[in-house]
Amino acid sequence: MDLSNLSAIGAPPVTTNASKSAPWRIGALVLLAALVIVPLVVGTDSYIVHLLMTAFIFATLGHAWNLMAGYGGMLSVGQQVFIGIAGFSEAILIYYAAAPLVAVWIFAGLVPLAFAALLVAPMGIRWPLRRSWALVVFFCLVAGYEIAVTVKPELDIFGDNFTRRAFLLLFLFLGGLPLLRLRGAHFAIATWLIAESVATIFSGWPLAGAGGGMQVNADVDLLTLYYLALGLVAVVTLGIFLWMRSTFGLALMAVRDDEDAAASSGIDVMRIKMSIFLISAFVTGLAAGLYFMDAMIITPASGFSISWSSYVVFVVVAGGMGTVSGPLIGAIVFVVVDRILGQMSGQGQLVLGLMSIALMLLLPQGLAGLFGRSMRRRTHLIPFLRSPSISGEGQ
Amino acid sequence: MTTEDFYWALIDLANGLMTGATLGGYYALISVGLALTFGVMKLVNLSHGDWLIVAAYLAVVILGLYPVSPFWVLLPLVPMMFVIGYVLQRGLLNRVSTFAVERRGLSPIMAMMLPLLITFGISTVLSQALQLVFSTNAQTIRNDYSFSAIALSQDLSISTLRLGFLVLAAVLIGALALFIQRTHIGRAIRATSDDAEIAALMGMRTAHVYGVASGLSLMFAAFAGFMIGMSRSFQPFDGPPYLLTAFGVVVIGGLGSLGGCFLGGIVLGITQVLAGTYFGPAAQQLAGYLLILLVLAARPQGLFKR
Repeated sequence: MDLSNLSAIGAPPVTTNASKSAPWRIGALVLLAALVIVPLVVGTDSYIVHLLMTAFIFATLGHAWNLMAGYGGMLSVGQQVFIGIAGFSEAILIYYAAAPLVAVWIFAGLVPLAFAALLVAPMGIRWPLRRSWALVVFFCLVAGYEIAVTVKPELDIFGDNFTRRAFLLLFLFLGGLPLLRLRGAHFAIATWLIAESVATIFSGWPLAGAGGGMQVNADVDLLTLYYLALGLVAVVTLGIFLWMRSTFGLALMAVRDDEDAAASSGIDVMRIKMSIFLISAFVTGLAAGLYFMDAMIITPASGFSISWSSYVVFVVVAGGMGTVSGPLIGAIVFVVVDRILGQMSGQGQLVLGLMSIALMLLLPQGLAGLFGRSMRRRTHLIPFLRSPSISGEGQ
Repeated sequence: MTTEDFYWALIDLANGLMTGATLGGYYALISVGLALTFGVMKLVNLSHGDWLIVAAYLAVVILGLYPVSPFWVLLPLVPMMFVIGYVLQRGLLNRVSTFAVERRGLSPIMAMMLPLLITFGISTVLSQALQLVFSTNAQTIRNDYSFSAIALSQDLSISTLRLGFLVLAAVLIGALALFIQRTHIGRAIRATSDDAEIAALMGMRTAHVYGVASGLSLMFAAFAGFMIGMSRSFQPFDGPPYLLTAFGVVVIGGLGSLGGCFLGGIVLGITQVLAGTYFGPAAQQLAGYLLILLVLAARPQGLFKR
């Protein structure tokens, strides 16, 4: 039995490794400072700056997924729904309202957050009776809107009968769906289904380009995007680092390891899962917002593509699930493999898929696990990968 | 409403129900492989849809080499997919089974995630490899039956191919059920699915049994892929929708039950076709997905189980 881990559970966790981790803190600050001055050294329009920005964005996406899967045990293959919604809400805001950059970016985070809130809403309300009342009220509102549109067609902000009905009914339906009660493969498939359903609506919506996609004319230069992405990944990394050391982080990992045991020791499982889901959606939306400002175009096929999930899975699995450093390492490997090697051979995704299978077989701890036990102990307090019951039996 | 309107509404409904029911056979065949791996190994194979597409492409390749009547292609295709499934299970998936993960000292949460992540990786690899070899052009298995239909009355007809596949699905699933009930290896499969640990203690080679189950699963994927190729066109990235449909059928029918696949397929087929009839073609896919989500959320044990 690993005693250092036991003491970590009992003691106030924030202070456990404070003195030992000082070199790591200095290292992180030096790295951050180096990344801040990189564009000044290599030139502001350099390809390296673009690659680094891509790495930051994918590291952030990885963090968001890792928060759910690595720390929370909720394996989602539907992150692309937040990415697509973020990209399209950004494009719609720019096209129809010509809003300033920061407003657009925040909006790209808030809309996925609102959508995630809709998905987890039923879990916040404890009493089934009240939940069904909420559904009835919403249904009446939808029906009233439908009648209003038949009387005055200009009230229809969706621009198309089928899209309006499908949109409202789908959202009504998703609002009543107890998504977070599903576990394992059921949760994974449900997130995938939600992503596909939303994609179906976007691919026929006249307002969002009717399947042909939209332009994202954000009028922003690469340097701004670089610093926004750097700031985002730094804040998210620090946030997760601190958060996972708080009581909340410990409770989250307890839920991941045994949901029923956690619930019976007085942890509010649903509140924990809800917060993780919402934060993950918000962070994913912000990262996707930056991505599409750079890509300048979004189509339903690109925004809601399942490839997003395979990228994010690669980033986290290559780096190490359930670790803070994992997504950062994984994102660098991702950029090297997909953007540099992939552009030479034209088969980036095939290589990524093969590599992620090989890594999961040979190195389920990811590359972060290679750096030895001492570092692992600092990066996660409750060991994710070692099963505590048999780790002392010399196997 | 005049009598004529009423007649047409009735014809619409009857056509929808009939098409939906025959579509049910098609869906049952797509999902039976998934039900088998789920029932025996508790494995949700996220690459199932892509294996269907692989089988369809293999059928096209074989027919390109030997231009015979399309049905003969099943003769080499089915054993080929069985071997692929067996090798895949022994070489790869057995290494991430619950047993293997425990033996390596990884936590139970990894036992849940690793198989899902690995099969998800396989799905990416298969679709990308297909695109590399065949490009993204839509393909189909050419045959004389695609547009033929049996007319039941002046305005009611039923697609020959779909009806044929309904019968084929019934025969094949019946044969599989008999195989699992009556043969030696079938009994081993049932024993392993009940309790793999005890089965191993009784001297069963569980690795081999899992291999056979996976082989059978891909064997049915071969039939289903052939059927997809016969009745519509397909592309390298078409796998995921089939996986989602198949998973839905398995969930609706009750996880891992073979007869349930049939009922689940028919329920899903009728829902989709009726939604398509009344709300336009865009609603067809959406209605299917929503039904699956509804069953997942409200009755994860399946519609037909108490």
